[in-house]
Amino acid sequence: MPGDDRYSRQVLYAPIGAAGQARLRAARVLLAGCGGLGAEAAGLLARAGVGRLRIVDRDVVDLTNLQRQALFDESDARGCIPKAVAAARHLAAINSEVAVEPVVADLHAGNVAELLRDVDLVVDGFDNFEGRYLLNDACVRDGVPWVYGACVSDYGVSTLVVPGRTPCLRCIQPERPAPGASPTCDTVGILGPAAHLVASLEVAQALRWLVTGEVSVPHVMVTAELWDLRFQRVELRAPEAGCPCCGERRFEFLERGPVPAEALCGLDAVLVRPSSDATPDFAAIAARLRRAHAEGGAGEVLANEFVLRLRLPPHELTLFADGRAIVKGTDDPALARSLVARWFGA
Amino acid sequence: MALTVNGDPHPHREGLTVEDLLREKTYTFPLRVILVNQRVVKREQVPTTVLRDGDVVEVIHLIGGG
Repeated sequence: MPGDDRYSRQVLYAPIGAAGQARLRAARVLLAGCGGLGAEAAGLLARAGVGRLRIVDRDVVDLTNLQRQALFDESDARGCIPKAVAAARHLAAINSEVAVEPVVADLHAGNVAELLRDVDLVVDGFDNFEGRYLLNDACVRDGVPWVYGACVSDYGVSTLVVPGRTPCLRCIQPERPAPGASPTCDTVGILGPAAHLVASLEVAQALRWLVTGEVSVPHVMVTAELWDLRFQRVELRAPEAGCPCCGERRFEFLERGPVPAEALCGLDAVLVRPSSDATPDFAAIAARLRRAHAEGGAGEVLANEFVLRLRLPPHELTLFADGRAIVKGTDDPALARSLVARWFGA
Repeated sequence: MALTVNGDPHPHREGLTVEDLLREKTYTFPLRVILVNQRVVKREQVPTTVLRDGDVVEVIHLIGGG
Protein backbone atom coordinates (compact mmCIF):
# COMPACT_ATOMS: atom_id res chain seq x y z
CA MET A 1 0.00 0.00 0.00
CA PRO A 2 1.61 3.28 -1.01
CA GLY A 3 1.87 5.54 2.04
CA ASP A 4 0.98 8.57 -0.09
CA ASP A 5 -2.62 7.38 -0.46
CA ARG A 6 -3.06 6.53 3.18
CA TYR A 7 -2.18 10.02 4.44
CA SER A 8 -3.36 12.05 1.44
CA ARG A 9 -6.23 13.77 3.29
CA GLN A 10 -3.96 14.75 6.15
CA VAL A 11 -1.16 15.92 3.84
CA LEU A 12 -3.72 18.11 2.07
CA TYR A 13 -4.22 19.94 5.35
CA ALA A 14 -1.76 22.78 4.66
CA PRO A 15 -0.23 23.17 8.16
CA ILE A 16 0.89 19.52 7.98
CA GLY A 17 1.71 18.97 4.30
CA ALA A 18 4.31 16.50 3.07
CA ALA A 19 7.04 17.90 5.32
CA GLY A 20 4.83 17.62 8.41
CA GLN A 21 3.89 14.06 7.49
CA ALA A 22 7.58 13.15 7.31
CA ARG A 23 8.08 14.64 10.78
CA LEU A 24 5.21 12.56 12.13
CA ARG A 25 6.71 9.42 10.62
CA ALA A 26 10.01 10.18 12.34
CA ALA A 27 8.41 10.85 15.74
CA ARG A 28 8.15 8.66 18.82
CA VAL A 29 5.30 9.18 21.28
CA LEU A 30 4.81 7.59 24.69
CA LEU A 31 1.23 6.86 25.72
CA ALA A 32 1.22 6.89 29.50
CA GLY A 33 -1.83 4.79 30.26
CA CYS A 34 -4.04 3.12 27.67
CA GLY A 35 -7.64 3.40 28.86
CA GLY A 36 -10.38 5.84 27.89
CA LEU A 37 -7.89 8.53 26.85
CA GLY A 38 -4.79 6.56 25.92
CA ALA A 39 -6.48 3.93 23.76
CA GLU A 40 -8.37 6.54 21.76
CA ALA A 41 -5.28 8.73 21.43
CA ALA A 42 -3.23 5.71 20.32
CA GLY A 43 -5.72 4.97 17.54
CA LEU A 44 -5.64 8.57 16.30
CA LEU A 45 -1.84 8.77 16.44
CA ALA A 46 -1.41 5.45 14.60
CA ARG A 47 -3.88 6.46 11.90
CA ALA A 48 -2.07 9.81 11.57
CA GLY A 49 1.16 7.94 10.85
CA VAL A 50 3.20 8.78 13.93
CA GLY A 51 6.08 6.38 13.34
CA ARG A 52 6.66 4.89 16.76
CA LEU A 53 4.32 4.48 19.70
CA ARG A 54 5.39 3.20 23.11
CA ILE A 55 2.37 2.23 25.18
CA VAL A 56 2.65 1.63 28.92
CA ASP A 57 -0.34 0.42 30.93
CA ARG A 58 -0.64 -1.63 34.09
CA ASP A 59 -4.08 -3.20 33.71
CA VAL A 60 -6.08 -5.65 31.60
CA VAL A 61 -9.13 -4.95 29.43
CA ASP A 62 -12.35 -5.16 31.42
CA LEU A 63 -15.94 -5.36 30.21
CA THR A 64 -16.69 -1.98 31.86
CA ASN A 65 -14.07 -0.37 29.55
CA LEU A 66 -15.92 -1.18 26.33
CA GLN A 67 -18.56 1.55 26.74
CA ARG A 68 -15.89 4.11 25.73
CA GLN A 69 -12.57 2.44 24.87
CA ALA A 70 -13.17 1.91 21.16
CA LEU A 71 -9.83 0.24 20.48
CA PHE A 72 -10.83 -2.85 22.51
CA ASP A 73 -13.50 -5.51 22.06
CA GLU A 74 -15.19 -8.32 23.98
CA SER A 75 -12.54 -10.89 23.11
CA ASP A 76 -9.92 -8.70 24.86
CA ALA A 77 -12.04 -8.54 28.01
CA ARG A 78 -12.88 -12.27 27.94
CA GLY A 79 -9.24 -13.17 27.36
CA CYS A 80 -7.96 -10.97 30.18
CA ILE A 81 -5.54 -9.29 27.74
CA PRO A 82 -3.35 -6.47 29.09
CA LYS A 83 -4.41 -3.15 27.57
CA ALA A 84 -0.95 -2.39 26.14
CA VAL A 85 -0.88 -5.78 24.38
CA ALA A 86 -4.47 -5.55 23.11
CA ALA A 87 -3.78 -2.01 21.85
CA ALA A 88 -0.65 -3.15 20.00
CA ARG A 89 -2.58 -5.98 18.29
CA HIS A 90 -5.42 -3.73 17.14
CA LEU A 91 -3.06 -0.93 16.07
CA ALA A 92 -1.06 -3.38 13.93
CA ALA A 93 -4.27 -4.15 12.03
CA ILE A 94 -5.09 -0.43 11.70
CA ASN A 95 -1.67 0.73 10.47
CA SER A 96 1.12 -1.80 9.98
CA GLU A 97 3.56 1.03 9.15
CA VAL A 98 3.62 2.10 12.81
CA ALA A 99 6.03 0.43 15.23
CA VAL A 100 4.18 -0.18 18.49
CA GLU A 101 6.04 -1.13 21.65
CA PRO A 102 3.68 -2.39 24.36
CA VAL A 103 4.92 -2.25 27.94
CA VAL A 104 2.79 -4.04 30.54
CA ALA A 105 3.93 -2.20 33.66
CA ASP A 106 3.15 0.38 36.27
CA LEU A 107 4.94 3.64 35.42
CA HIS A 108 6.99 4.58 38.51
CA ALA A 109 10.01 6.58 39.59
CA GLY A 110 12.28 3.62 38.87
CA ASN A 111 11.30 3.08 35.22
CA VAL A 112 10.05 6.46 34.00
CA ALA A 113 13.44 7.64 32.69
CA GLU A 114 13.76 4.48 30.56
CA LEU A 115 10.19 4.85 29.28
CA LEU A 116 10.87 8.48 28.30
CA ARG A 117 14.08 7.61 26.44
CA ASP A 118 14.08 8.88 22.82
CA VAL A 119 10.50 10.08 23.19
CA ASP A 120 9.49 13.36 21.48
CA LEU A 121 6.27 13.80 23.43
CA VAL A 122 4.06 12.05 25.99
CA VAL A 123 0.29 11.80 25.80
CA ASP A 124 -1.34 11.54 29.21
CA GLY A 125 -3.72 8.60 29.37
CA PHE A 126 -3.68 8.22 33.15
CA ASP A 127 -6.76 7.92 35.35
CA ASN A 128 -5.12 9.31 38.52
CA PHE A 129 -3.08 12.23 39.87
CA GLU A 130 -0.27 10.04 41.21
CA GLY A 131 0.84 9.11 37.70
CA ARG A 132 0.46 12.64 36.37
CA TYR A 133 2.57 14.31 39.08
CA LEU A 134 5.27 11.71 38.59
CA LEU A 135 5.12 12.19 34.82
CA ASN A 136 5.22 15.99 35.20
CA ASP A 137 8.36 15.77 37.35
CA ALA A 138 10.07 13.40 34.92
CA CYS A 139 9.12 15.38 31.81
CA VAL A 140 10.28 18.70 33.32
CA ARG A 141 13.54 17.11 34.50
CA ASP A 142 14.24 15.52 31.11
CA GLY A 143 12.77 18.36 29.00
CA VAL A 144 10.11 16.23 27.32
CA PRO A 145 6.80 17.91 26.35
CA TRP A 146 3.62 16.20 27.54
CA VAL A 147 -0.07 16.75 26.96
CA TYR A 148 -2.24 16.78 30.06
CA GLY A 149 -5.74 15.48 29.50
CA ALA A 150 -8.33 14.31 31.99
CA CYS A 151 -12.02 13.58 32.00
CA VAL A 152 -14.79 12.56 34.35
CA SER A 153 -18.57 12.67 34.09
CA ASP A 154 -19.30 14.97 31.08
CA TYR A 155 -16.26 17.16 31.82
CA GLY A 156 -12.88 17.26 30.15
CA VAL A 157 -9.75 19.39 30.32
CA SER A 158 -6.46 19.48 28.41
CA THR A 159 -3.32 21.56 27.92
CA LEU A 160 0.14 21.08 26.43
CA VAL A 161 3.08 21.30 28.84
CA VAL A 162 6.38 22.28 27.23
CA PRO A 163 8.96 22.48 30.03
CA GLY A 164 10.42 25.96 30.36
CA ARG A 165 7.95 27.48 27.92
CA THR A 166 4.48 26.82 29.28
CA PRO A 167 3.17 26.34 32.84
CA CYS A 168 3.67 22.80 34.12
CA LEU A 169 1.11 20.86 36.17
CA ARG A 170 2.60 22.15 39.44
CA CYS A 171 2.46 25.78 38.23
CA ILE A 172 -1.28 25.26 38.01
CA GLN A 173 -1.75 23.08 41.11
CA PRO A 174 1.43 22.96 43.25
CA GLU A 175 0.24 20.25 45.65
CA ARG A 176 -0.80 16.84 44.39
CA PRO A 177 -4.47 16.40 45.31
CA ALA A 178 -4.98 13.75 47.97
CA PRO A 179 -6.47 10.43 46.85
CA GLY A 180 -10.24 10.81 46.96
CA ALA A 181 -10.07 14.63 46.68
CA SER A 182 -11.69 14.63 43.29
CA PRO A 183 -14.28 12.42 41.59
CA THR A 184 -13.16 9.60 39.30
CA CYS A 185 -14.76 7.73 36.41
CA ASP A 186 -15.43 4.89 38.85
CA THR A 187 -17.25 7.09 41.36
CA VAL A 188 -19.31 9.50 39.20
CA GLY A 189 -19.08 7.83 35.81
CA ILE A 190 -17.87 9.02 32.43
CA LEU A 191 -19.49 9.77 29.08
CA GLY A 192 -17.78 8.08 26.14
CA PRO A 193 -17.85 11.34 24.15
CA ALA A 194 -16.08 13.19 26.98
CA ALA A 195 -13.20 10.70 26.88
CA HIS A 196 -13.05 10.78 23.09
CA LEU A 197 -13.16 14.59 23.01
CA VAL A 198 -10.26 14.91 25.45
CA ALA A 199 -8.25 12.29 23.56
CA SER A 200 -8.88 14.28 20.37
CA LEU A 201 -7.79 17.52 22.06
CA GLU A 202 -4.62 15.81 23.27
CA VAL A 203 -3.81 14.38 19.84
CA ALA A 204 -4.50 17.69 18.08
CA GLN A 205 -2.00 19.41 20.38
CA ALA A 206 0.44 16.51 19.98
CA LEU A 207 0.31 16.58 16.16
CA ARG A 208 0.74 20.36 16.11
CA TRP A 209 3.76 20.18 18.40
CA LEU A 210 5.36 17.30 16.49
CA VAL A 211 4.88 19.05 13.15
CA THR A 212 5.73 22.64 14.10
CA GLY A 213 7.57 22.60 17.45
CA GLU A 214 5.56 25.72 18.25
CA VAL A 215 3.34 26.50 21.20
CA SER A 216 0.01 28.12 20.34
CA VAL A 217 -0.12 31.87 21.10
CA PRO A 218 -1.78 32.58 23.42
CA HIS A 219 -1.12 29.31 25.21
CA VAL A 220 -4.40 27.87 26.44
CA MET A 221 -6.06 25.24 28.56
CA VAL A 222 -9.32 23.99 27.12
CA THR A 223 -12.22 22.67 29.17
CA ALA A 224 -15.57 21.26 28.10
CA GLU A 225 -18.86 20.43 29.80
CA LEU A 226 -20.38 18.21 27.17
CA TRP A 227 -23.91 17.70 28.49
CA ASP A 228 -24.57 21.45 28.32
CA LEU A 229 -22.15 22.02 25.44
CA ARG A 230 -20.12 24.62 27.36
CA PHE A 231 -16.55 25.14 26.23
CA GLN A 232 -13.92 27.27 27.93
CA ARG A 233 -10.60 28.47 26.58
CA VAL A 234 -8.40 29.71 29.40
CA GLU A 235 -5.25 31.63 28.53
CA LEU A 236 -2.18 30.65 30.53
CA ARG A 237 0.86 32.88 30.75
CA ALA A 238 4.47 31.91 31.39
CA PRO A 239 5.55 29.25 33.93
CA GLU A 240 5.20 30.39 37.56
CA ALA A 241 8.55 31.65 38.89
CA GLY A 242 8.00 29.99 42.28
CA CYS A 243 6.89 26.62 40.88
CA PRO A 244 8.54 23.87 42.97
CA CYS A 245 8.98 21.73 39.85
CA CYS A 246 9.82 23.81 36.76
CA GLY A 247 10.90 26.90 38.74
CA GLU A 248 12.98 25.44 41.58
CA ARG A 249 13.59 22.09 39.87
CA ARG A 250 12.68 20.01 42.88
CA PHE A 251 11.38 16.65 41.67
CA GLU A 252 9.93 15.25 44.83
CA PHE A 253 7.63 12.71 43.15
CA LEU A 254 10.66 11.08 41.55
CA GLU A 255 12.35 10.77 44.93
CA ARG A 256 9.55 8.84 46.58
CA GLY A 257 10.00 5.10 46.30
CA PRO A 258 6.97 3.07 45.29
CA VAL A 259 4.88 1.89 48.24
CA PRO A 260 4.42 -1.91 48.59
CA ALA A 261 0.66 -1.63 48.12
CA GLU A 262 -1.63 1.26 47.25
CA ALA A 263 -5.38 1.59 46.91
CA LEU A 264 -6.37 2.54 43.36
CA CYS A 265 -8.67 5.39 44.15
CA GLY A 266 -12.29 4.88 43.23
CA LEU A 267 -11.59 1.50 41.65
CA ASP A 268 -12.25 -0.65 44.73
CA ALA A 269 -8.90 -2.24 43.98
CA VAL A 270 -5.37 -2.34 45.36
CA LEU A 271 -2.09 -2.51 43.43
CA VAL A 272 0.42 -4.78 45.19
CA ARG A 273 3.99 -4.30 44.02
CA PRO A 274 6.44 -7.23 43.94
CA SER A 275 8.82 -7.63 46.85
CA SER A 276 11.57 -9.00 44.61
CA ASP A 277 12.68 -8.84 40.97
CA ALA A 278 11.98 -12.55 40.49
CA THR A 279 9.60 -13.37 37.63
CA PRO A 280 6.62 -15.38 38.83
CA ASP A 281 6.35 -18.91 37.45
CA PHE A 282 2.80 -18.73 36.05
CA ALA A 283 2.70 -22.41 35.09
CA ALA A 284 3.70 -23.62 38.55
CA ILE A 285 1.38 -21.22 40.38
CA ALA A 286 -1.54 -22.02 38.05
CA ALA A 287 -1.00 -25.76 38.49
CA ARG A 288 -0.92 -25.39 42.26
CA LEU A 289 -4.05 -23.19 42.31
CA ARG A 290 -5.91 -25.55 39.95
CA ARG A 291 -5.15 -28.48 42.24
CA ALA A 292 -6.42 -26.43 45.18
CA HIS A 293 -9.51 -25.45 43.16
CA ALA A 294 -10.24 -29.11 42.34
CA GLU A 295 -10.05 -29.87 46.05
CA GLY A 296 -12.38 -26.99 46.81
CA GLY A 297 -9.69 -24.87 48.48
CA ALA A 298 -9.28 -22.10 45.90
CA GLY A 299 -11.29 -20.19 43.32
CA GLU A 300 -11.45 -20.45 39.56
CA VAL A 301 -8.16 -19.83 37.74
CA LEU A 302 -7.59 -18.18 34.36
CA ALA A 303 -4.08 -17.96 32.94
CA ASN A 304 -2.62 -16.70 29.67
CA GLU A 305 0.90 -15.68 28.70
CA PHE A 306 0.47 -12.26 30.35
CA VAL A 307 -1.59 -12.69 33.50
CA LEU A 308 -2.89 -15.20 35.98
CA ARG A 309 -6.29 -14.47 37.45
CA LEU A 310 -7.85 -16.08 40.50
CA ARG A 311 -11.51 -15.48 41.34
CA LEU A 312 -12.22 -15.57 45.06
CA PRO A 313 -15.53 -13.74 45.47
CA PRO A 314 -15.78 -10.99 46.58
CA HIS A 315 -12.13 -10.65 45.53
CA GLU A 316 -10.38 -11.10 42.22
CA LEU A 317 -6.60 -11.35 42.10
CA THR A 318 -4.68 -10.67 38.89
CA LEU A 319 -0.95 -11.44 38.83
CA PHE A 320 1.19 -9.90 36.08
CA ALA A 321 4.42 -11.21 34.56
CA ASP A 322 6.43 -8.43 36.26
CA GLY A 323 5.29 -9.71 39.66
CA ARG A 324 2.71 -7.00 40.34
CA ALA A 325 -0.79 -7.95 41.36
CA ILE A 326 -4.08 -6.07 41.27
CA VAL A 327 -6.63 -7.15 43.86
CA LYS A 328 -10.20 -6.11 43.10
CA GLY A 329 -12.98 -6.03 45.65
CA THR A 330 -11.10 -4.21 48.41
CA ASP A 331 -9.43 -0.87 49.09
CA ASP A 332 -7.48 -2.23 52.06
CA PRO A 333 -3.76 -2.53 51.16
CA ALA A 334 -3.04 -4.84 54.11
CA LEU A 335 -5.77 -7.30 53.14
CA ALA A 336 -4.67 -7.19 49.50
CA ARG A 337 -1.04 -7.93 50.41
CA SER A 338 -2.07 -10.84 52.59
CA LEU A 339 -4.27 -12.30 49.82
CA VAL A 340 -1.42 -12.00 47.30
CA ALA A 341 1.08 -13.57 49.71
CA ARG A 342 -1.34 -16.39 50.51
CA TRP A 343 -2.35 -17.32 46.97
CA PHE A 344 0.58 -16.28 44.79
CA GLY A 345 3.42 -16.53 47.30
CA ALA A 346 5.97 -19.29 47.09
CA MET B 1 -18.83 47.51 35.56
CA ALA B 2 -18.45 43.90 36.46
CA LEU B 3 -16.12 40.96 36.62
CA THR B 4 -15.93 38.38 33.87
CA VAL B 5 -16.17 34.88 35.34
CA ASN B 6 -15.70 31.99 32.89
CA GLY B 7 -16.73 34.31 30.10
CA ASP B 8 -19.93 35.56 31.74
CA PRO B 9 -20.48 38.90 33.56
CA HIS B 10 -20.66 38.77 37.34
CA PRO B 11 -21.44 41.78 39.59
CA HIS B 12 -18.49 43.38 41.34
CA ARG B 13 -18.46 45.11 44.73
CA GLU B 14 -15.72 46.77 46.73
CA GLY B 15 -13.64 44.33 48.75
CA LEU B 16 -14.91 41.18 47.00
CA THR B 17 -12.34 38.40 47.43
CA VAL B 18 -11.82 35.28 45.36
CA GLU B 19 -13.17 33.27 48.27
CA ASP B 20 -16.35 35.41 48.34
CA LEU B 21 -16.80 34.86 44.63
CA LEU B 22 -16.42 31.07 44.95
CA ARG B 23 -19.09 31.13 47.66
CA GLU B 24 -21.46 33.02 45.38
CA LYS B 25 -20.98 30.56 42.53
CA THR B 26 -21.79 26.88 42.74
CA TYR B 27 -19.40 24.46 41.15
CA THR B 28 -19.73 20.75 40.56
CA PHE B 29 -16.30 19.49 41.57
CA PRO B 30 -14.29 20.27 44.70
CA LEU B 31 -10.83 20.83 43.15
CA ARG B 32 -10.60 24.19 41.47
CA VAL B 33 -7.84 26.22 39.90
CA ILE B 34 -8.51 29.96 39.85
CA LEU B 35 -6.85 32.36 37.46
CA VAL B 36 -7.26 36.13 37.77
CA ASN B 37 -6.11 37.98 34.68
CA GLN B 38 -4.30 34.79 33.56
CA ARG B 39 -2.30 34.36 36.79
CA VAL B 40 -2.90 31.37 39.02
CA VAL B 41 -4.12 32.33 42.51
CA LYS B 42 -2.37 30.12 45.05
CA ARG B 43 -4.69 28.30 47.40
CA GLU B 44 -3.47 30.18 50.48
CA GLN B 45 -4.11 33.49 48.70
CA VAL B 46 -7.76 32.71 47.85
CA PRO B 47 -9.21 34.33 51.03
CA THR B 48 -7.10 37.50 50.74
CA THR B 49 -7.04 38.15 47.00
CA VAL B 50 -9.32 41.15 46.40
CA LEU B 51 -10.93 41.37 42.98
CA ARG B 52 -11.02 44.68 41.12
CA ASP B 53 -13.65 45.91 38.76
CA GLY B 54 -13.01 44.52 35.29
CA ASP B 55 -10.94 41.54 36.45
CA VAL B 56 -11.18 38.45 34.31
CA VAL B 57 -11.61 35.32 36.44
CA GLU B 58 -11.40 31.78 35.14
CA VAL B 59 -12.31 28.82 37.30
CA ILE B 60 -11.11 25.43 36.05
CA HIS B 61 -11.94 22.08 37.56
CA LEU B 62 -8.77 20.07 37.92
CA ILE B 63 -9.62 16.41 37.56
CA GLY B 64 -7.67 13.19 37.69
CA GLY B 65 -9.93 10.80 35.78
CA GLY B 66 -9.31 9.36 32.37
